[in-house]
Amino acid sequence: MSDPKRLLDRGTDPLSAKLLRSGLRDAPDARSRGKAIAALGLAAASGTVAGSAAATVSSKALPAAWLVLLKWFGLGVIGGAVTIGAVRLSSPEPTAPAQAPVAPTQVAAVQPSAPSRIPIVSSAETAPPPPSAPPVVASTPQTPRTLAEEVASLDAARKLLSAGDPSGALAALDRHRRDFPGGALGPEAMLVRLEALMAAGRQEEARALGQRFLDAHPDSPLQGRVRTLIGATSIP
Amino acid sequence: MINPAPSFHHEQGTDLDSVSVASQDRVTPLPALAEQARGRLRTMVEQHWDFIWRLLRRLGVRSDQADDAAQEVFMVAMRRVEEIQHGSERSFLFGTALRVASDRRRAAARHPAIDDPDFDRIASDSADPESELDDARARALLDRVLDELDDELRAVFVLFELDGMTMREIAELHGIPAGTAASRLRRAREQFEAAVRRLRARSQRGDA
Repeated sequence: MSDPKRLLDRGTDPLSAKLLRSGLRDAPDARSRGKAIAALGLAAASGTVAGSAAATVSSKALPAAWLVLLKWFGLGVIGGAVTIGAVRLSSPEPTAPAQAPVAPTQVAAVQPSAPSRIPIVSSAETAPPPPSAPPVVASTPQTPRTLAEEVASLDAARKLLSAGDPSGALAALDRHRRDFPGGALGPEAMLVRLEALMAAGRQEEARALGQRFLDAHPDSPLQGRVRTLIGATSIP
Repeated sequence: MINPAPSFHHEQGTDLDSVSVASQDRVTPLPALAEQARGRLRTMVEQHWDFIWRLLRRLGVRSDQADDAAQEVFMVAMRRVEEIQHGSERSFLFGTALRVASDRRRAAARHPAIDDPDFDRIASDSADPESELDDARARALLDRVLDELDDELRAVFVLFELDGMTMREIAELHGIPAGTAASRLRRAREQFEAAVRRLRARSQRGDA
């Protein structure tokens, strides 16, 4: 059975047609996708050849034929890294650092069968090696704070709490709130704050905070966890 | 940035109305993604951002919240990328978008907006405010009409009538049989027509 005709194709009353046509124009702002990619920490690092299919070159993984090709194009393999003139492209460690929001610099895979398509990396910038410590990503006024940074910030507070330092955790949470107002991890941050308040002996504040949440969000799936944390025994 | 829920935000700076979807799985930090997963996620955003954005908008998310809502959908995908079968990315995103939209509509119902931001912008910035306002008003009325459809019918309706998907694609996206999809479209059209009739009646009485 074939599909019915769409209302706008088949013809419908003028009001319905006008309403439906107004919906045809729905479209996101041209920049919103790029902004989302940045906010999700998925942006490629600078100096790369664009392409989501980019593979990372690791000297250990390079078959001999590729090494020959690279040399042919004036590329060298030095100390585990592929070097192109002044550009240093580091290959990642087998176990990448857990919180690197800066992606290891990527280079499009060299295709031995189609040498004419080997891309020339145009940027002469030196790409930094992958950091081994939690990285500090410089955020200029134009740089959106990424989700990855927000995660790292909240993790710092969690670690302090696990280490038995609830006051430190609360201070970290205050910094987190200041740095990421209305951030995506608001609920998670609220839960950490509840735990920290309880651990710091500030039960009354914790209960007040938790109760306000419970009252404001009767349908939230966090209800159970919040109740458990604040030791609420009555169900409203 | 996700818009905060006004009643709770000021004190603790948290957005608790977007909690339900993102935290349904577990309230833990987003995983650090392996390179392959990042690439996959990024491809998903490149390929499906517009579709998901439009879908959210047509499922009742306000235009000034659609960017945030779409980000939320992809955040969920980020958390659960390991579970997403290759080739089923759009289905996963679709299912997530349905939940995000539903949560946001519930939240909006508790905190109704007083002004529609688009009207303000048009009145102040537009080179052709009359016809833009006309379009904007029609779009707002479409929102109101679609709000009267049952959620599951609304999705089939907008995908078919506005996105131009085939019934077979729609059925696959939902994971339902073709007959079920066809039945939902039929019922959706009935509800749509009834809602338009009511709208017409109200405007004739002067209270639309």
